[in-house]
Order: sequence, then structure tokens, then C-alpha cells
Amino acid sequence: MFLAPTPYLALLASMIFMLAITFFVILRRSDD
Amino acid sequence: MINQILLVVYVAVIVILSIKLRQGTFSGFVVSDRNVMYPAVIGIAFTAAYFSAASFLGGGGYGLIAGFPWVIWATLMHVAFACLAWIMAPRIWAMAKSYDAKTVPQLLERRYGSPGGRVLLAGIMLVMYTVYLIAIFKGCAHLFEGLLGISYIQGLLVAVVIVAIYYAVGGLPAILWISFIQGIIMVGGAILLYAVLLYNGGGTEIWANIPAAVTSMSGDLVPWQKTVGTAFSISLGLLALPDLLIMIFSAKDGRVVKFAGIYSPIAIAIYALCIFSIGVLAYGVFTAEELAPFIKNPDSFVPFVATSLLPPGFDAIILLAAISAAMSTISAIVLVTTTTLTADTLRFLRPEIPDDRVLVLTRVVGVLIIVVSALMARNVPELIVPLVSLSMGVIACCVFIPLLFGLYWDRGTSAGFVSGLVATFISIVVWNFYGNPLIHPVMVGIVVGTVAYLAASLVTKPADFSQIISVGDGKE
Repeated sequence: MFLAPTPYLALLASMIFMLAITFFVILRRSDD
Repeated sequence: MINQILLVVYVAVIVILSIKLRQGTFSGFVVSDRNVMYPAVIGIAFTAAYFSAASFLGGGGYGLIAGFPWVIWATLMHVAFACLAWIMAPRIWAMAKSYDAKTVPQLLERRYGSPGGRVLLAGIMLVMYTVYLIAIFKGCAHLFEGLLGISYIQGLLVAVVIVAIYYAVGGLPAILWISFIQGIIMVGGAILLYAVLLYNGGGTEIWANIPAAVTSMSGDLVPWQKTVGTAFSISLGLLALPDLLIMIFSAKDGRVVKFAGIYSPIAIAIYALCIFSIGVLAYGVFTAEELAPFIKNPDSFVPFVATSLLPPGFDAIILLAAISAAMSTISAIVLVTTTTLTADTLRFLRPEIPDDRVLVLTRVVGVLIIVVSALMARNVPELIVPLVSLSMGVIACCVFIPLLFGLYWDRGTSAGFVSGLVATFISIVVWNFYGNPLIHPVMVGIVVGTVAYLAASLVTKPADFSQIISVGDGKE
């Protein structure tokens, strides 16, 4: 009874983190 | 019958799009005249061209053998490299535009003032891409075999005809739009496979049924170091494969590249997570006995999941998704492989040749490459992943080093470019045969290539900086 093994949850968290950072970098460029 | 109807509709859409997008100029054929104004098309086509049938079938099945390290490392590296690729993309687009480069070897030639380097890179790409094409044609023919119940050779023939039509008629614009549609089918198919496994395994309960050996991060049947190397070598392609870079070249302006950088990493993240998880999730649905035959032949595992868990008709969608994965990659690769011969090598030997002649040759030679690699695909080794991993890794490594330093470091020279290429290629080949198998040859290649590039650049005279056009971030 658990959501998913720890490495899998860590993977999901890192994916979301990397995408968020990337979109931040990409979208911020328009304000330059 | 459903399968045949689906295929007819699929082919009809491809043919109509090709005719609608037919091209009459060399620039239109190879970079769509740099006029593509839809970020989603470039972003999704980039994703579709990157992921081939090897990812859909091999990548899905490989989790059965390599277990959790494959799911975690392959997905993580794909997302990380996709993010990096799209952070770099606006600069790459600006550099291609300012040098008026239509191929990747041409871009690097102009950046380094190195016609020799261009031809050398074109040669490496020609050989390595052909190896890769053979592997994908094989996968594609097997899929048609499964979809239509025809023989392997007939499957090859169907693949050749479809790809040859849309390549020769529509060039890059047709490849982009068709890959866009194929990309949507691929992501849909990947989500469907993931969902059906989770559903049959009882939702999140599925994890409780998967043996601990499979979810161990040290790897059960394959050492984790090997899995990390394979994942690295494959995903490096996202950063520097020429068949993907030309899609960035085709954008109309920096804004298109910027927003393509939102669509593509999301599509890559969803697709990679769903596809690479399949092999492991299967342990929560099927018994070890049911899975045993696929440990030896993982490529036939995904079609097995589709036919055993999905209702009739839906399994055809999965096969069509895998066919889409194969064809989107084949078409983009045929285009870049052909231009290494026509635009890069021929232009080097005979610079005076007019554009319309080069265009005719690019169409004819492209079809020849399709036919030759399909002929060679009649008899190739079983497992797709290692073959693909090495050939794509070599090209990605050879392009990545001069591209990255070319974008961010002014001091790189022609000697650095050529030395980097030679060192990368030789070190990968030598390590592949004589090195420690736990360290992937591409990892060695990237280190040796970078050292050679930096050393040769630093000992040779700096390039004439007035020749190097400064590139910005793709802003208008």
C-alpha cells in the first residue's frame, strides 16, 4: 500500500523541477 | 480489417500532406525556407524524430532486463537533455540564420572556417546514420508484419514506399507536419500502454506486486553502470543530433523556437516516463513465466502487452504509434544523411553546381538511401538498442563538442574542430572493442573528444574574430 518506490517518486519530482527551471529560463528571456 | 482501414487513413493523410507541402527549391526542401511559424509543430516533430521504434519497442522492453535503473536513468537523462537542448536552441537557431547554414556540417564549417571538418563530419554521419537506418527499417518492417499479417519483406516494402513518397515530394516541411501528427499518436500510444498496465495491475497497488530485485537500483540482470552508460549515450542525441537540429533551423523567428521549447520537453517527459516504465510495470501484471520469452527478445514485448491487455482495434493503435515512431525518425535521418552527400560533400568537390541540380540529387539520392538501407535490413542482429545506442552516440558526440564550444567559446579553432572529431570517433571505436564494458564508449568519446578539441584549439592560432558573427539568444 504505497504510491510508488522512492526512486520513482524522486524521478517524478526531479522531472517537474527540471521542467519548471527550463520554462523559467526560456520564458524569462522575452523580458530582457 | 480495422487494421487495414486504419493504415489506409494514415497513408492517405501522409500523401495529402506531402502533396500540399511539396517543395520546389533547395532551401524549401531542406530547411522549409526558415518559415515554420508553429512552435507546437517544431516541438512535437523534434520529439517524434528523436524517438524511434527502438525507443518504443526496445526502450519499452529493455526495462524487463535492466529493471529500475533503466526507468530512472533513461527518463531522467532524457528530460535533463531535452531541457538543456531547448535552452540552447535559440542560440543554435540564431547561429544557423546568421551563417545561412542549411545543414549541420555547413554550420560548423562556417563557424570554424573548416571545409575539411565539414566533409569529415559528413562522412561520419553518413556511415553512422546508415547503420541506424537499417535498425529502424528492421523494426518498422516487423511492425507492418504484425499490423497487416504480411511477410517481413513485404513489410519492408510498405515502409520504403510510404517514406520515399513523403520524403521525395515534401522534403522537410512534409517531414515536420507528418512527424507532428506521428508525435501525437506516439505520445497517445505511450500513455495508453502505461495506463493499461497500471489499470490491470490495480493502480498504485501494482508496485507491491513487482519483485524487489526488479525495483533495486543496483540492477539485477544488468549492472547499473552499464544502464547509466546506455541511457546517457542514447539521450545525448537530444542535444546534438543533426536530424533534430535542422528542425530548429526551420523556425521562422526566435519566438517560435522559444515556445517550441515548452512543447518539446513536456512531450519528451511524458513519452519517456510512460515508455521506459513499461518493462518494469509489466512485472506487476504478468507472471515471470509469461515474461520469460521476452527477456531474450525484448523488442516483441510491447506488441505482446498491446495484444494481451487492450481490446481488439486498440492494439492496432499501438502498432501504428510504433510505426509512426519509426517513420518520423527514418524520414528526418534520410534528409540529413542525403544532404551530407549532396549539399556537403558534392558542394565541397564542385562548388559551382546550381541549387536546382542539388535539389534533384537530394530527392534521388534520398530515395536510393531508403532503398539501400531497407535492402540491408533484410538480415540484421536481433536486439536494436545496443546498435542504435552506439551509432547515434557517435554522431551526437561528434556534433555536440564543436557545437557547444562553438556557441559559447570564441577561442575554438578549425584544428580543434577536426582533432575533436577524429579523437571522438577513434576513441569510441577503440573503447567499444578493447575498453572496460562497464564504461560506455560514448562517455569515453565525449571526454577524449573534448580534451582533443580544447588542446588543439589552444595550441593553434585563434580564429579571426571578425569572421565570427556574434550570436545572441535568438531575440528579434
